[in-house]
Amino acid sequence: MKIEKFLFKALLLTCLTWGTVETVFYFDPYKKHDLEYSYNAVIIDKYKRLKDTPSPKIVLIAGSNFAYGINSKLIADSLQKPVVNMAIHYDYGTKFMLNQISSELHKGDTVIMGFEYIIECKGNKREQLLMARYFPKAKEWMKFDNFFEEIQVNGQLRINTFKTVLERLYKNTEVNYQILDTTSVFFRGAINEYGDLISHYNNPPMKRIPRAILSDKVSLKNAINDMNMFYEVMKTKKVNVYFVYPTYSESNYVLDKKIIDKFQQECDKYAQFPILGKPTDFVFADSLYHDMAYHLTQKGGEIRTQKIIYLLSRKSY
Amino acid sequence: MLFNSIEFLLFFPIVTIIYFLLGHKNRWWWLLAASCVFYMVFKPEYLLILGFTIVIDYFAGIWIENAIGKQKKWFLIISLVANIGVLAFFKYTNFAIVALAQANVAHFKLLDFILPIGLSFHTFQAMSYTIEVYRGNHKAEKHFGLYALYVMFYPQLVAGPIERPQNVLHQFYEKKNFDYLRVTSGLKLMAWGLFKKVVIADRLALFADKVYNSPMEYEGIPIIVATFFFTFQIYCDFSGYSDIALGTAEVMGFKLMKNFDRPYFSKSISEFWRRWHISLSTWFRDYLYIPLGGNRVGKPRQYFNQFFVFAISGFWHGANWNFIIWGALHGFYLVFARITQKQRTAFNKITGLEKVPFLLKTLQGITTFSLVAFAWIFFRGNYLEQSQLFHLVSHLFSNFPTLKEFLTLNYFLQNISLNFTLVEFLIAIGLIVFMEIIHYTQRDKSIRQLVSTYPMAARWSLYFLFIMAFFILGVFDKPAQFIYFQF
Repeated sequence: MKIEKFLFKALLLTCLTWGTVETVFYFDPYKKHDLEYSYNAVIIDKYKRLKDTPSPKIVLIAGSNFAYGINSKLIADSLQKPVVNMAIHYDYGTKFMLNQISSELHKGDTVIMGFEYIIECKGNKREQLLMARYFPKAKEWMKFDNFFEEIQVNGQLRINTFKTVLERLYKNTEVNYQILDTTSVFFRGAINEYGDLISHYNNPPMKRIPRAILSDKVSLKNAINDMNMFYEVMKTKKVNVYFVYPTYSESNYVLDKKIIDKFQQECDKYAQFPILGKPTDFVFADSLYHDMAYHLTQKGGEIRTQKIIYLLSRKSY
Repeated sequence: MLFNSIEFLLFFPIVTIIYFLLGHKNRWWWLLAASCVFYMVFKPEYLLILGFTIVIDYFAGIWIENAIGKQKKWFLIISLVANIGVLAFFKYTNFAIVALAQANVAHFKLLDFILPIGLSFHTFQAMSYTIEVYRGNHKAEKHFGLYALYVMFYPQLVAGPIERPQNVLHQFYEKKNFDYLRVTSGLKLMAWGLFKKVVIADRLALFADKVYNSPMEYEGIPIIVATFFFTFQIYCDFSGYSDIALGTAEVMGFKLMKNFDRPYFSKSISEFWRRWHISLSTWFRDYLYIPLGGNRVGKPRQYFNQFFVFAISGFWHGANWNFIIWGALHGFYLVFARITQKQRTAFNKITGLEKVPFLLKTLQGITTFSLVAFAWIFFRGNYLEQSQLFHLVSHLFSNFPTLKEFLTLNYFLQNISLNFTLVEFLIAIGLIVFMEIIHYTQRDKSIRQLVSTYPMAARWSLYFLFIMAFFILGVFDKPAQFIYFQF
């Protein structure tokens, strides 16, 4: 057999197999449902509020520690400015999250960054691409290292979707999360008008806050560098930028103090942006946490928000 | 470049198609250039290290061939010193620095560099060339490009099989045509290797990692379960790599040596080593064990040599005490088996086991598997602290449940399926069984050849289902490096 004929057959088999995966991806029967319920799709509502809220406004950006543990209404009432809580999930990475808000910031706006200690600069590309599935604009916030990474991440998303669709078809179950139920947390309707996650308010908190994962091998330098660059750009737009340390449960803080001290030293050394307070300002008793070291309960969120307001006002905001 | 990467998915067809389009005379440089690109993806500057040993060994080969008397030996020594020197410097310097500091002999600063990928593999392959030329088993290669290709041939460059010049060099001179059956057979082997890696090894890794990443949290059965899964994980990982290497070479018309032959069906440790990482075992046998005296020396010396060779083999894997213990443990198994040979035969006779060969073979198989699996604990635990490794070994048989506890679903989910769902656990076990059935079936006939005889519709349906199973069951979230790449 000639090489041309073999190549044709190989191409045909590739089209048949990968074509099946692509077809399922594009005609995903659950896409509409996911658009309504997926936590990644929460960006649609958050971004709309960001775009629609007039300046001067206060924008909060971080991972889930801000999503869970902020009472935006309290900030808005205290500082007399509209608040948009854009925090969703730490795994999106600093670059992506800061790109997310930068085009909608204008003169007089204030940004409060509160990234977690586990934040990475690049973030998880699959999470980012999944968000872009529901909100195509999110593709503009992504940056691939190279062409191969782009193919790989797109391929992974398609394969994962293919698997999930088959699994859901097999199980034939459709979950409709409700804010009033006492179990669900992450879904599109889980936020209030400001963007704060409130679905966990009526869920029972964990009796014991599990051990968080912090590695002393990790450095915040790259994330700080992203924040520095963002700060520089925002300075030219006359946008105020601040950083607050994330909240962290007491029991975990005791165990991770060394690592957090190291992170604080990195911030002191490399950060060009103003930092409000210190890590211990946001360490609270475990009873104020919902299900992990970064996730505050409603009450914990209020205490933490008061602290942010206090620190902000001390900076003669 | 990883075989399970997107880069390779593009690299392989491009290289292969151009390889077949080029005339025979031009193929060597194309393969050499492709091999350079393949290696440079890891760290381009490390190509210079490879280049250094290639130049030394190329000239050493010619000098050895032309030398008379003792000169031959000196040229061989130059080659060996250069190769072992590079290996020792990059792989063992930091280990030596730490050992000296721990013994309070001397304190030096640790060197800060990443180990060149596959260093132990291509260094050993290069050494086999000069040794074979020295022994007169192979003529020195005069074509520098072909010699470089012998060391750098990309399918086996970073994780073997560790080839011998007699097996490979002559193949570069032979004209390879596009042969449909051979090409598809090679592709099938590659697909099977990739399946073993992405679907089986990476899936089993989820179970093994759970315990080995937080060893202090587990006792007894979870450690046994995780070790069982790791035993198959490392086999699928490494033999998967070897299958892809052999398949890639086969597509282009080259035949590399078999590296695995159903090792977990072995009925003794010595049989295991004739079936596991064959290219390395035979390397140590030919170039270390036999020169040390082999079986020609007295029994005590033989035992020492065997133990020593296996300890060195462990050290070859990594500059870490765990690997040395792993190798030494295998050496101990082998020596112990030889010493107790008579007693074990007598035991089989007395108990009547000898008369029930199936039962005897099964017991031998289970014992061998358990000993091999136990030794893997040290291998897998190479990143662990001493206390963690000690915990794993000392708590292997502790905290066992009562039969009543053992039979509860809760116990099963927590300690046997390690908090994975029952379906996930069954998939993992099912994949192991499936793989071993395939391997067992392949004893007599090649499944690849068998599939080729099927009607087209059946063949294509099979290919389609196989690829779909690959997508559905594969672990793509965390593309993992091959375990043996670190060596």
